[in-house]
Amino acid sequence: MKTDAPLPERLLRLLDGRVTAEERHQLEQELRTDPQARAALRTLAEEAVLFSDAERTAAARGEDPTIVPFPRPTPRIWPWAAAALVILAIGVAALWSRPSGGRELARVIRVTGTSGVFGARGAAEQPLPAGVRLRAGDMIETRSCDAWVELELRDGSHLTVAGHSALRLLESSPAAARVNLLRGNLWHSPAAQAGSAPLVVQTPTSVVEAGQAQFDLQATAVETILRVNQGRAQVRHPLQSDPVEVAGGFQASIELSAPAPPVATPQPAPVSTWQCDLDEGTAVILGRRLPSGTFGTNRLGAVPLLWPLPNRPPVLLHAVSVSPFQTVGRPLELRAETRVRFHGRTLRDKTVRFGFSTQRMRGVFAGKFEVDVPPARLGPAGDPWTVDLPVSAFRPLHPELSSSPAGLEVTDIYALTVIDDAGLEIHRIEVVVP
Amino acid sequence: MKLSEQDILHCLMQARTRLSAAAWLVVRDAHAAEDIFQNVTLKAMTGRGEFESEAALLSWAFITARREGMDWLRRHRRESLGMDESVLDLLDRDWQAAAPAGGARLEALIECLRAVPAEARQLLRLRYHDGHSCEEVAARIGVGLDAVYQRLSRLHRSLRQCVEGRLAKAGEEAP
Repeated sequence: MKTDAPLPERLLRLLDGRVTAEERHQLEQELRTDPQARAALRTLAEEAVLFSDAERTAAARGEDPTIVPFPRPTPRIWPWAAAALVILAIGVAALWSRPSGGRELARVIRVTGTSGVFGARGAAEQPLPAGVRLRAGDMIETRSCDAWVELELRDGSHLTVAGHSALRLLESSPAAARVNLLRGNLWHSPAAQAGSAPLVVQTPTSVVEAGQAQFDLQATAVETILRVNQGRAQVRHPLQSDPVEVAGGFQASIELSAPAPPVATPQPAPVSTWQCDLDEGTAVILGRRLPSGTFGTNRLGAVPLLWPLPNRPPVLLHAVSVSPFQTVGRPLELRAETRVRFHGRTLRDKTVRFGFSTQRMRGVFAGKFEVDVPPARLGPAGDPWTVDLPVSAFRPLHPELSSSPAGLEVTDIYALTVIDDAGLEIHRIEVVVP
Repeated sequence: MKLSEQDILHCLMQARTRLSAAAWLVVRDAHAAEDIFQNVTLKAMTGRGEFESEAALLSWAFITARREGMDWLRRHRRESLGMDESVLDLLDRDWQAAAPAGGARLEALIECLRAVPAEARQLLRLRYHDGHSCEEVAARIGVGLDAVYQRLSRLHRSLRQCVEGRLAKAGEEAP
């Protein structure tokens, strides 16, 4: 590299790793001591992201920037310039107040719970209303377990985004619709008519492509579980080029740490009973492990969390929550006669709320069911208790989704106190069919 | 007093270009940098962290963006730039102290980019939008590597002059 080369050129070579150790040392020293050099590097980085942003924006608006003619000098006409500035200001304001410009890729058709949408250029719309039209770059975030957003894509297929999920719409083409599930759960139901465009879903650990398939995805930063219920889907690890086909009734787990081709296995049959000792293998969603102490059992202590509510201030909860499916690897199906037993204690007198979230067997979110148990029924504070409840005692929070838990799959099961920390701890959970 | 959700979102959106650029310096991929910015925003909005001031939020956001960038490099098995941490710290500090660029600068850059001839624009697109290295860009457009560095360097210089000129002109013409 020429030492007399302009600074931007030397910085570009540094960013490409095309400098010797000596040159790197010299450039880093220059950056350390010269604010102007740092300003040049910052500007270069900002131009890189702004250029890409401008390209995305142009693509979303359906423009082809390459055919924009080179502008000719124009006479300075003050009134026109002032008007142009006003129009520009209005345009900028409009861009920031709407999610983004460009072709609509999806429409929000149903919303429950607390959700928000971040536009491609950062505009936020909270809470997310039904009817909002979404474009490339827009991101939906569901903020609570009971949040649920249903989208209709351009081809008529439906995407349902479950609670605590984040989904971003990507640039799509007539050949395929694309979304990025950053985390959480998603269900896809194909359009009624055949021949709709395939859907490509990127997650942190996988790329899933499906046409006329009904499937659901659970994605975390390190693992994705794909369950195909009807039709066929293809999935691959981001580091693998060859996809694996997953047929209806099969599932595949793709772990970031195992970049081998995923293996499709039959979906496990559901179970109707579950005894959870809260041992190390338990998939804990909320809770902290407490020393076994005098009880000689595993104990999960409640942890605080803010419960977001639409159009209201959030409520502070102290909760313990576990996932049966992630613990045993099989769906836990409730029956009309199922009973749920919680073993635990509270250190202070306080009503404890017990509940569970459900989804349809191999389907979408079906609501939460809860019951409050007053301290008089729990016994003296500090003493261990067992609460034995038939599922019929739990009231549905979303009766429009399902009025009864019978036939539904339990996605998580929990106990909590509202506002005050009562020192709630859970020692064991049982789901039994007498 | 702790920042509200709206305060956090407003502050991060004001710093969007700076945060994305800081992430870009680590990952050198504009799309990944945008994803990292969104992840940082998500974490700030949904995490349990509480921010007493915008300065505290920005400090956390720049640290988190850099950390997410390093994670992204590991996940994608990309080589780290290996720039000295002290330089990155100084850059982050400068960015935190810098005034928000605002929409006017973005619009000025978009207008300046419109004025770039198609050939030069293709060069920018290959390098920054498509994320190719300069060596790959050279191979694609059939010129030498040195020529690519020189052209990009000139383009950055002329873009900067164009943006500054437009902003100055807008300042003059503002009522």
